[in-house]
Amino acid sequence: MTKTIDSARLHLPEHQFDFLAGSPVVVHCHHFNLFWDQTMDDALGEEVGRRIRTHAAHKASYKFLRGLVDEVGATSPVERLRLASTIFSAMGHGKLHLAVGRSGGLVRGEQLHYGFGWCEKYGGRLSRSEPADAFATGFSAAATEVAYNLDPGSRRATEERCVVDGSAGCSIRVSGAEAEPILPLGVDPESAREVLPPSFDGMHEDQIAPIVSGLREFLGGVAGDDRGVIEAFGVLVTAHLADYYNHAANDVLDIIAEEKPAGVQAFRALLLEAGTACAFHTFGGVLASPEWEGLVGAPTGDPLEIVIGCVALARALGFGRWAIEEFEPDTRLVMTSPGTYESVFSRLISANAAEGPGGIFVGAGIGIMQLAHGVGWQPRASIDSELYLGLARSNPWVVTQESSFAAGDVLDRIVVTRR
Amino acid sequence: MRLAEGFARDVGCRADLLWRCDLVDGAQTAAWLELATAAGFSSVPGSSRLGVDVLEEPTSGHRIVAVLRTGRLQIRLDAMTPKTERVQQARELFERLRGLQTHSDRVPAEAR
Repeated sequence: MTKTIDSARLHLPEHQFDFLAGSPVVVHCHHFNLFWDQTMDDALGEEVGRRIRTHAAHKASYKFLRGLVDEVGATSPVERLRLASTIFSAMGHGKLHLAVGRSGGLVRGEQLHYGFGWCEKYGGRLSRSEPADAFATGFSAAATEVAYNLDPGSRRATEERCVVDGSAGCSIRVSGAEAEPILPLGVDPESAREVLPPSFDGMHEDQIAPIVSGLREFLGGVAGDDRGVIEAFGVLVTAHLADYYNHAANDVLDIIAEEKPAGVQAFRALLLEAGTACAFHTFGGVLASPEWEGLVGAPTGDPLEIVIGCVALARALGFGRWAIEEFEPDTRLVMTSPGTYESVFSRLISANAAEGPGGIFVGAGIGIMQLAHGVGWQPRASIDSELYLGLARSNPWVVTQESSFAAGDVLDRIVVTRR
Repeated sequence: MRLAEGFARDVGCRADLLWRCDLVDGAQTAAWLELATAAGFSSVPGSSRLGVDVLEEPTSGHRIVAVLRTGRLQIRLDAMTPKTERVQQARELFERLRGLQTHSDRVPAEAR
């Protein structure tokens, strides 16, 4: 290899997007990752959902790994497989032992993020027989193809064992059987720059900017440990391929739009819920963490302070340059962005851009208002599933997306008001 | 430089991995970290950021995140700790942290 992985990183400060080897990368925790996968399965059922998620991982990972081996100059199959395994762990997805030849082979997984995260979150309370590691599965197929210069989609991978059913470890079979060609499309820095409008400031930028700067400095030093696990802010964290989430949601949307058009709105509601859950658990969890207390101070409970913190977090995690256009405590929140990691994908890649999911930005509006007004931050906050469900049952907030970058508008804009 | 009595699951705790305790005097956090290091806890390289410092218990891999400005301590048990052992290991670690005392801590105030 002629270069290091670090040389493949790119940050677009104007729009708060991060790229690694030409693919957009965002930070999400295991709460959200499990919720997102469950959302896909809720829409189409476990079997189809798993197929879609694996396919999405395959497409996103092929584009990413192809870019990575080119970027760092990895030429031999051994080098490329080692690089794939290293980056997988560095991004907090666990450990993959890629014992694969040109025709395939067996991949052993340890502490794979989804399976391990599921056991941590639900193990002992729920039972599950369907394997959880669609991302690792699609990644393994792509790693094999890239290592041996094979066509994308020429290898197929299936998770044969997963810790969620009590197995001691995870194993993934890669083969050439029943493979189907794929188009490894995704967002890249050049196309993002071309399509994104100039950025703009919102309210309270003087308070948001230093928090973003501090968080980015912290996150810049975070990487998977020798087990491929990242623990930060008290949760299991991944640096994840944004194209994975977006391919999965768009592929589900395409199927629903074709087979059950009446179900599109219901799916959008599920994605909105995922956004609300992300804001509540991820943003809320970080706000209550020791790291936040050290950087900013423990939240006092002032609603404006919570909104500012959440917007700063969205930027630092690579979601896009969210901004506060208007905030009236207990009444109204207007957020804008020149584009989010979802809306840029929808605008550039999706066949159904007008219906583009955009769930995180929109749903987060409700989650942020719940954090600002429904959580008792002093003396100590309680950010847990019980509170989340309680707030969801009595939710007084409604969100409207007034502008959609994905649909061709000049920016993303949401308005959250009381019902 | 003592720990307060309170010891409970911390915010966001998943399956007994995160526990909270506090120094009685938050202004003493830096000195307490030195005390803990002298007692065998190792400072995690590169962890002193965002106003926090992180110590690791070498044999178990459990970590203690200390907020420098407030004295909040978060015990983060190693993620691989068996679920059935977590509460016990967290309590044992808390007791060990409570046992860290300077000479002045051990001498009654009226005798100083």
